Amino acid sequence: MAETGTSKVLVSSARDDVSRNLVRLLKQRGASPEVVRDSSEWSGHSPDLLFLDLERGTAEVRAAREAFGISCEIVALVDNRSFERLLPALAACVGDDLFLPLNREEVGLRWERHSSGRGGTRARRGGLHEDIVLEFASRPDLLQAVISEVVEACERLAFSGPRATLNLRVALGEALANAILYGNRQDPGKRVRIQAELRPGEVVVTVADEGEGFDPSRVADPTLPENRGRSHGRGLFLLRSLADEVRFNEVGNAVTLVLRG
Amino acid sequence: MSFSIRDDGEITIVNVDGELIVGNRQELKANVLDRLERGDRKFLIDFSDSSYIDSSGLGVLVSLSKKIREAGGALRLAGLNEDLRTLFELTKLDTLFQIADTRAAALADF
Repeated sequence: MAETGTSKVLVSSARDDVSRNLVRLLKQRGASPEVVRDSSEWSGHSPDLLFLDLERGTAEVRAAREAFGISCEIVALVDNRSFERLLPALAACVGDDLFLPLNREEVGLRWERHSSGRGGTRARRGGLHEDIVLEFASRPDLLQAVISEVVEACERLAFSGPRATLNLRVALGEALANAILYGNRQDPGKRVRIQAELRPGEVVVTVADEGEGFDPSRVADPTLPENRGRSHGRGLFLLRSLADEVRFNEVGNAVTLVLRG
Repeated sequence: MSFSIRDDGEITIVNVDGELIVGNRQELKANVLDRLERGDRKFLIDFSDSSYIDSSGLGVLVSLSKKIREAGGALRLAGLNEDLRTLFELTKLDTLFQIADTRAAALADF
């Protein structure tokens, strides 16, 4: 991937020995990391890869997601004392972890994974075409950040107006809500995966969950008078009404939406 | 999303600020049902500060409307922007709810 050399790497740790060591190991792999002590020094940075010391707690993970968006890959730095924070951090979209003391091979492995585009959460950008691949825990509170990321990319590269802010936003939201609520049954250990291809005039996005799937032909039409008073069953209908094409895989645990501007 | 509830005479006005979606819909439902249990009967939900409702948000409104009606009360909606109106029309929920353009029009209608 040609753009790996320009990947922006940030190390956020208040422990000088940790950041010094990590920077040294990353530089050996050809990365040029910048170092800050904590979130108060993040402004002005927008890394593609963030090494975040969990010593300061998991609140910084959420802050990093908010500050840097969903396309920033986060690797948590964990030691014995902060180990209990790792699970909540992973649930909050941390893509990977590194245990302290740092090991040269392990650091190298994280960097290789990132630079080959196989990290946990990432965006690949190039010219007028963009692929976004995101994987995240089955938690409804992560939905809006994920949707906003894709809609913003759509407005930048594919099309804008109500087709982006209404059709894509709602259709994608329904596909994701289905994956989290019904596919993965809100099990935070199960992941939802989005793959979006954006090019001028068109967005193709696939949402996959780890559930057993369902038969989309067996969902009742919510607009029939006898069904209008039901409090459930509008998601799939909205998705089909708002997207130009909707395809399910055979099992029914992945749906592909095509939207055109 | 946040929402505020205030009383205007015998009408309970709920202002939804932000998105009514799968992650927060239960909070709205619980608060309105609490008011219903305490005896409030006329409800106005104002969406002037809201840009987005998903299918589960729509589901909560349907469920609230039913419960309020069963208790002998009334629910009106107001302030839907163009996108929200489209969603109500697509799902034919515009036939189920009484929807006013503005809060003032909805209040006058009770």
